[in-house]
Amino acid sequence: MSVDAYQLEKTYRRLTGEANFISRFRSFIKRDYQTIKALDNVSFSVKLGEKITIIGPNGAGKSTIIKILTGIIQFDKGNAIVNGYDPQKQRYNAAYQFGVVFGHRSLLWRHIPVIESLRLYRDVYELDSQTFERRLADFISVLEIKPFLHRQPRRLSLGERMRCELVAALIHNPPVVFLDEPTIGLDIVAARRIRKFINERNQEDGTTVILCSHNVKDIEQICDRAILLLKGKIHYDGPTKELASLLQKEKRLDFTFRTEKKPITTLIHFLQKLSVQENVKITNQDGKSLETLNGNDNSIRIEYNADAVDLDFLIHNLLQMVDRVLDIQISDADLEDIIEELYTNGAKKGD
Amino acid sequence: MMLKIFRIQTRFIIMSYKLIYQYPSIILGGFIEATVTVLSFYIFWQVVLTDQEFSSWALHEILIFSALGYLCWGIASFFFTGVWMLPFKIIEGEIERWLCRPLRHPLLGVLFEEVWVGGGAFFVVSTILLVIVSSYYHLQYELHNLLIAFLVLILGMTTLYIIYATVSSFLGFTIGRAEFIQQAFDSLEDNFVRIPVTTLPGGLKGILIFGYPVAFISAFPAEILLNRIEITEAAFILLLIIPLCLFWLMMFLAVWRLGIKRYESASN
Repeated sequence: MSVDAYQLEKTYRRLTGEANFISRFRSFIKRDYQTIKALDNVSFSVKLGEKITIIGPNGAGKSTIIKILTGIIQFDKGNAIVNGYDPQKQRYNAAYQFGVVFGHRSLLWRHIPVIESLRLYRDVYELDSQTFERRLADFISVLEIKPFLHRQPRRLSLGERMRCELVAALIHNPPVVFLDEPTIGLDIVAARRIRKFINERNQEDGTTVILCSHNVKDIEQICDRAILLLKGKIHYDGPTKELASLLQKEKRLDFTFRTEKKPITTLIHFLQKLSVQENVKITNQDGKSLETLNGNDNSIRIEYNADAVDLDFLIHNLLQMVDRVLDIQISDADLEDIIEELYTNGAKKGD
Repeated sequence: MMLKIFRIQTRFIIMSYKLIYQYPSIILGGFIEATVTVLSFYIFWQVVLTDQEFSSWALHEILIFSALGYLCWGIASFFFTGVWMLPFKIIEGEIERWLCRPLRHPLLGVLFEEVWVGGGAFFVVSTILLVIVSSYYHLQYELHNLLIAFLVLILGMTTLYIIYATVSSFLGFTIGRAEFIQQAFDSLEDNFVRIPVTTLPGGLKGILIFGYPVAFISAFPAEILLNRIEITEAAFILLLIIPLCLFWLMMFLAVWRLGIKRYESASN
């Protein structure tokens, strides 16, 4: 295994918010803290060369996992191994096994040219000059960073800087790379370039990728496997595609029709009856009420749960009630919508 | 391991040079600051000490005393800028850059990655002041006094910064605020390179020798260098600062170890 996390637990202590003046005054003498479980019995294994994503809403514990596996913070219980080394007990050796990119925090020194930061990392990772120059040349050709090497990071755009950050994280050719929101704030082109680079590293060097991101494109285009984390607990661990299909019970039926002879009221009545059901939402064209449907061209969207509605029954009835079907489309909700829904529901459940 | 540390330290020095190259005004700014500070100090004592002494300190002795204090600032700017920034690095999560690196002691990176290049101007200005005063007043120094004074100054400076690092790290790791302690330390250091601690009354003098040992960065080195005290007393001062320095070093490492254990990381 490349990375192993076994029954990881981590708690944080937070000062409780005081509601009124007196309790705030009292807190000067006696402070009340609450314990927050950032990670609760988290276990997962990542094989060598695998690409996984850890997804979850803010505060789910994604960054905590990355920081534990990179030895930045220490866990309360459990075990963690990164390429054979415990990042807590064998921090020095473990640090050679991974590279890490934090989207929010730079690895480069803002005021000196990028190349100087890279040379520092060369010395930190004890790379010989030949290896360093060869790897740098590879990165220069792939990421096209040559013009930025002699510029200060503070004078680079976010996309340019992020390309340099990736070089800083991977210059020592680590077997494992942790990426904490590497495409945050990047435009489409820059984000695509980063994703392409990560995939290439994985294919060419067999680098294990562990990614935390809110960006659905990152998840879809980089990772084969997803771990869904909600309130510090793993709610799903499996293929990214399966996560989508498992959760894509929410279907969307777009129905465009014309009805000249058959009375529209029958259809409206049927739809109104249908919309009373739980897990069914019907919207007319432009979000108007169903009563505005008429004999001319109409579009309705029926969003339903596949478990709750019999598709055969639904389509059969729709076809019976209209004269002419102009278009009919059944689609799954977007992964983005699913994740949004998961986050919302997860947060509500947590509350 | 030593070679690795040496290479990293060399890289930090090169990076500091590159920083000057990017911002040459740092040097000019540093010289303006150092010159104004030293000159205003000189004017003050020149006015106060016209034809008289201050608690047995003549003007030229006061000047030597103070030049040593500023020399200490200059040397500290090369080695202890990281210490000064330590609480902010802890609070803002800047230490994380080093916690995930293959360094036996991440402190190596945290403490030495930065050099306040402008502070080097204090080194130059105070050295010029030392040379001018020494030649103007025809001062001659014994080699052993010179050596002991230098050692006391270096160890005193190290101890002061380690005390600051201990207290400010503790505050950074626990309450998450430390700016007030920086101001307090700054004020103490600033004032007691202007007034010889050895002229103060007993209790206060004791605090500034054993508690916050600012006496070791200017008053004692000046007394030793100017041969105002016996060689045995000078040796005693040197022997006193060594355990004090080691004690605070152990305290600092303990605070750091505990702090890292309970470090919760700065949020994204």
